[in-house]
Amino acid sequence: MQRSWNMIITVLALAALILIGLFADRFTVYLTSRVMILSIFALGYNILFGRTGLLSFGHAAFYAAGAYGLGLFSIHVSPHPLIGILVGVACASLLAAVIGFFCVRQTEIYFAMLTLAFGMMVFSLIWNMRSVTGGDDGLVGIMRAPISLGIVSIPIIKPQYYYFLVLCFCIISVFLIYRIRLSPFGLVLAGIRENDRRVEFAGVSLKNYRLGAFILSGTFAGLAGALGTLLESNTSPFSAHWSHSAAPVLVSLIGGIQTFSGPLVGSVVFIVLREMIERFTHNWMLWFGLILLVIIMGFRGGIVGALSGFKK
Amino acid sequence: MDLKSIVHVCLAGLSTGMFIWLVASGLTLIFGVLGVLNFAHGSFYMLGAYCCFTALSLLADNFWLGLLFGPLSVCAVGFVIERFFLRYVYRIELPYQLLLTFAFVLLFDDLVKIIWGAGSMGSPSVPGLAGSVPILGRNFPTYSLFIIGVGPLVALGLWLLIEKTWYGRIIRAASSDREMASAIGVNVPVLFTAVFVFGTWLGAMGGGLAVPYVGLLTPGMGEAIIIDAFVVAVIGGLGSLKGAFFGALIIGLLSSFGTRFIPAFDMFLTFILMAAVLLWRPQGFFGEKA
Amino acid sequence: MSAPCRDLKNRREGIAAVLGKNEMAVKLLQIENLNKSFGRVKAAVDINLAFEQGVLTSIIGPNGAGKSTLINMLSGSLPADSGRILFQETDITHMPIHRRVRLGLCRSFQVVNVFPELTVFDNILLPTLAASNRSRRLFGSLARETTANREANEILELVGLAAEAQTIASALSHGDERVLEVGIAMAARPKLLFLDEPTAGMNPVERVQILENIRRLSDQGRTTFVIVEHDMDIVFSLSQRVIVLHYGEVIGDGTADEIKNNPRVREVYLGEGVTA
Repeated sequence: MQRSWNMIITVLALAALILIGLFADRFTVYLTSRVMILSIFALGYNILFGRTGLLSFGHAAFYAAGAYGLGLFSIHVSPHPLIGILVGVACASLLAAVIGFFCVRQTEIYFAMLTLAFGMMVFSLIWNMRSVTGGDDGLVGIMRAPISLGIVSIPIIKPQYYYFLVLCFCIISVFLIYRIRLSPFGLVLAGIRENDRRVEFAGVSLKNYRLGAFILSGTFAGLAGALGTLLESNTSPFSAHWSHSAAPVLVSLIGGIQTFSGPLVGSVVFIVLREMIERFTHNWMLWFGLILLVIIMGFRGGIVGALSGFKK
Repeated sequence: MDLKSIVHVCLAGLSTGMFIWLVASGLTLIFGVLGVLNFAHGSFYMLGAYCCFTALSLLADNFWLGLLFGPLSVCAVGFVIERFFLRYVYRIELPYQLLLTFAFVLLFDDLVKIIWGAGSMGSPSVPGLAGSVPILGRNFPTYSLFIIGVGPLVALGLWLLIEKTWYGRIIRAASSDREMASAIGVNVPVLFTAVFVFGTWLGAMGGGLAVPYVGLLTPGMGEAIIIDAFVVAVIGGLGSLKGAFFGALIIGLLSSFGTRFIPAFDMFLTFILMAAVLLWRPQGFFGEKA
Repeated sequence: MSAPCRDLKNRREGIAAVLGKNEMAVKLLQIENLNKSFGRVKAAVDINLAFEQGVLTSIIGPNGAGKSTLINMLSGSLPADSGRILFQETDITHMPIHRRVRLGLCRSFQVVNVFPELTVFDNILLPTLAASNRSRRLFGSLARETTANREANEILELVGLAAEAQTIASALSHGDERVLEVGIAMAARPKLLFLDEPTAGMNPVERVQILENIRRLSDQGRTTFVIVEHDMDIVFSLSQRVIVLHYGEVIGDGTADEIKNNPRVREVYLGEGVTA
């Protein structure tokens, strides 16, 4: 019963997304692109936070790695978008492996502080290496060149066309992360979340699996960064700032940390709400602060959690 | 590099360090006793600065009166936060505590913009501490010297409070063993609220003292200082006041010399030090091994 | 060697003779001069023990005798102050917990230590997968891990929890939880399994059941059990060998009868009004 419900919702959501891409106005298309990109960031992040319970303040650095990786590649080597995305993702993955190696040696608050330190190291590097990264101006003028696959050349300069590229990556990401969740690796991560002491006694190396989750989440963050850069055609050093790391956490919390669809729901809510709030007032942070307060004080299951509570 | 420059760089480092110490002292106290790493401490600093600014403009531009009343009003905020929010999340997992304090950061960032406007406000100078003093032939701001003096005073005051008074003993007992303290009759919830408010006051005082120091009051000043305070707290040892004091000295000097010689990378160096401490000596230079 | 140690050594050889095993008996675990102190409290004093395959052993001793400390050191959650631990000739003294488990040395916990929000089946599946090196698979489907699934089902049958396979662990009765606790430890297919008070908090029916399971498994020969217990009935009815600890020292090591008649043991432990 539950499964067919999920199938229906998935199909409806997919249909809605396709319809938006085909018929909606420019602004809605742009907004939905941002929702999808944020979803990828948050879904990936939730592999680490939702499953192993580790709160990282440095994941924005991997987003930035994807962004600047693609940006620099696009400007200096070739504007081919798919290869650029690949480069960005690879950079993020590598960075996550290096930083993660150090961070998983500690837990709890020391882990959080370590990720903060490394994240800010990346931020300061980006900020200071003006000649390479453009400093506080960021990289500008990153084109959305057509995807040339031999004889066929798919233009993505129009927001609508690019939207469908983002949709593809979003679907792929959702699918991959869903598969991971149901895999042996996913079961181990769930075990770590439940009882990190016992998993060691089940023969699992806690450090290694944490590192694996860290790298995976960093990789998806990089994908989000690369896609985000192509969307905006520029990069910003603030994408590496620790306050940007708060976005996927917020989104996951709003949607529901323990659930799979939580980050997706949360992304929609986050961006839509933000747009709505910003129409009336500049002070969206105030409202999000309040929402976060309410969630932590009473609704830690997030929206999806509350909904499944109602169903029961 | 001549002696004059070295001395001035040192002094600059000392004043930066002492300034960070003033802010970090409250953060450390709260973490040491309550076990909560308060992201919103930077907001208390910021609120302290803004409240002080408003207070002094209402009180005949008297800085000292502003310093007295401004931070006190921030204490009320601290009280509300601990009593009605934080108290209920002590028992749930750490990430939620951090995120709760982060929620308040968001709230206060915008609240400040709403109440005082999003622009920056110029900071007035304090008569008697304005201007500069010639040291070894070069001028050094008088107010910075004042800060260099205030820092150790605050450290001494805190040390006396914690080590020599009855309150201090209770605080020490509760921070090392919450349940035992409760069992021997200490009203732990009230104590926690009191300590949190006191820590808030320390942060707000830091903000108040920042008013003539930073040049401009902006709504982003909380975020800038909280990172420095974190770094200092970690390096000194989370929860150790002594550690925070010396950690602040180290960071202040490092930052000052770093800015002088390798301007591009001073932020980077600070964070490398923080990461190094967390990896090889997570209890900091002065903390106890967990 | 001091007199008591020589005594124990003789006893060990005595057990081997009694059980009809030759000198080539497989020594699963060898503990040499293990020491551990917590400040002034000596939790382990010069412990020298060897565990052989197939010998169901009980470790008894009053509270504070150092039983849990010993198991913690052997399983890897507590480092010893000095001494060596050898598992099948490999030095595991400094080896991390999960590697010892992979080699075949497992333990269960006195306080129930399960994965609360996972189903009973998943609780067992996790260690089974880890043991067969399948847990690293990122994109495999859990349902398709036929070997692991089969083994997990076997374990569930073995401990009698097959009916509860899809129940969430936190919804189990306390007795069932304890059974699950043992099940998780067994799921990693250990060669040597330390059970820390496995029957604590169980009702008599459950107790009989779990003991039957342990006896049956022990007879099968794949796993050697070492049980820390307080219940003397269990100890004497089930064990082929009994080790007695007192203030961190081994004060008795032999068959159940030998221990019952050991004057030192009687004086120290059995004299404390235990159920006959």
